[in-house]
Amino acid sequence: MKIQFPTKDTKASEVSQDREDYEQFFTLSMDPLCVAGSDGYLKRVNPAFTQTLGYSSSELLSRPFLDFVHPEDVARTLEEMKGLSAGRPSLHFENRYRCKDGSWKWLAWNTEPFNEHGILYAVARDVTEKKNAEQAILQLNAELLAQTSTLAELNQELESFSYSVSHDLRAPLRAISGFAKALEEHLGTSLDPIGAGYLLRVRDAAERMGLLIDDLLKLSRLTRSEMNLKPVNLSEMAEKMMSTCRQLDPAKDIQFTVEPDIIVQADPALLEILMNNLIGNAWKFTSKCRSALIEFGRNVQQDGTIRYFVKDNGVGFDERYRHLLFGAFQRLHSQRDFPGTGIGLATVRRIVRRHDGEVFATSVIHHGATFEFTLGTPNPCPL
Amino acid sequence: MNKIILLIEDNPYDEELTLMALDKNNILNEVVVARDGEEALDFLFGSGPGSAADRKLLPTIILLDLKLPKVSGLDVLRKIRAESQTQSLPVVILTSSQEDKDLLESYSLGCNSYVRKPVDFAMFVEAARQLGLYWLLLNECPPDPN
Repeated sequence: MKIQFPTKDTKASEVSQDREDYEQFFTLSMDPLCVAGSDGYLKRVNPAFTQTLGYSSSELLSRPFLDFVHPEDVARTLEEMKGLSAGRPSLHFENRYRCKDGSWKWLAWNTEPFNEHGILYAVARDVTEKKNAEQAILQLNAELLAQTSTLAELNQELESFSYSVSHDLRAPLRAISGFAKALEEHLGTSLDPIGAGYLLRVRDAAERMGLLIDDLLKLSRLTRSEMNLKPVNLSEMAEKMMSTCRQLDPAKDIQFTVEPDIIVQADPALLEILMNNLIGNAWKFTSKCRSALIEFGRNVQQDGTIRYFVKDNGVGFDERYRHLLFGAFQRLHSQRDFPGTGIGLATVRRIVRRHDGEVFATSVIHHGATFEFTLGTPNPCPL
Repeated sequence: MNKIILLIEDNPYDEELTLMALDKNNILNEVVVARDGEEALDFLFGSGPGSAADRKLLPTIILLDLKLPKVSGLDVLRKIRAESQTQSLPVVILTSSQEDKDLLESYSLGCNSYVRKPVDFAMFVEAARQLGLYWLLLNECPPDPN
């Protein structure tokens, strides 16, 4: 084996080899590298530097580098330079540089302090994309916050609106009803039957409007209430409601069928309102049937979702008007045939939607109606 | 008969209807009407002519509306419960609102009863009858602190 002892010559060749190595790295680096002087000018830049900003090397070296720094970042950059002059290295310092095409790039810098010759070495990385993504996230967050507060405001407004409806709309109704009654008594026997009939209608109408206001409030409360999820036995609920119905009219020929043990994860109070509306409707719309039939059960769809249904053989509805069925205060039957305010199915739809489900209605007129609903992942947040 | 009723009500129609409803039930007690919260507080805690202090007479029952100009019904109730001379006076909330929030707040502030004014006048008369019967006849009030 031949052992080489260091000589003056080999030292010199090693140094030149080192230089060659560093030159290679300097040229190959994908990140911008530079050498700068304490006079504020760049002394050398690598190809990645010129490629990143789009200037030629001589353009970059001909002006103080602060000329390329974004005006908003100049003060911070000067502050950082002070630290470098005082011998403190600078790590992960970020500022914006102007590109030749006028756009700005974010560069993150690692810089060693000025050496005894007033020279510093710096490595940069183009972090524009990361910065833009961060900015986008910040902006989205700000927008989200703004929207949340708008929603909270709207909710607040809705609440005070309901309050005002509840309080202020009822007062005039009371006056209409009360003074109509007072007028009736004041006129006594001098009031003829036609006049009495008119006054009766005034009071009836006032009372009906009172009911409508109450229903409207109930509907708005449904949306505002908090959800409390628990296992709910819908079969038991249906049984109980049906037996209440039966007690209302024991003479009525009606057959109830309930599929046992249907248990769902839902808000019990809301589901009770929902079932009450569907079964109450089935009861109401079979009131003119000779032998009525009301059924509660479930079907499994082809895709595996479960649909719960309440089915009756009552008067049904005209499917041409199905789109109106679930709107608030929409009615497909006259007040005379079937009384009601038209809030029941709107209520059903709201409750189903709050449980992230869907509701479906089918009917053959005069042969009954079927109402089906699904319950998805419940949505605990109001609105 | 020195049992007086304090009716705190800002709506003139409601005031008239309430007086009519009391009258229909032969409740002939004197009714002092305050048209806003401030008037009610002046009557109860002030010393001007006609005030409770001036007449040396506190109401037997207070009928209190919640939504009032200037000082709200809940604030009137709060003040009534905070002062020693009025803290045990029976207060019946008589209002249009049946918002849970109002019910909860009224009871937590110490109202004795909460009645929602019905739209139908016949029902209103009936409510007045029951209130008069209970609070003016059946119920024994705490002894007058004076």
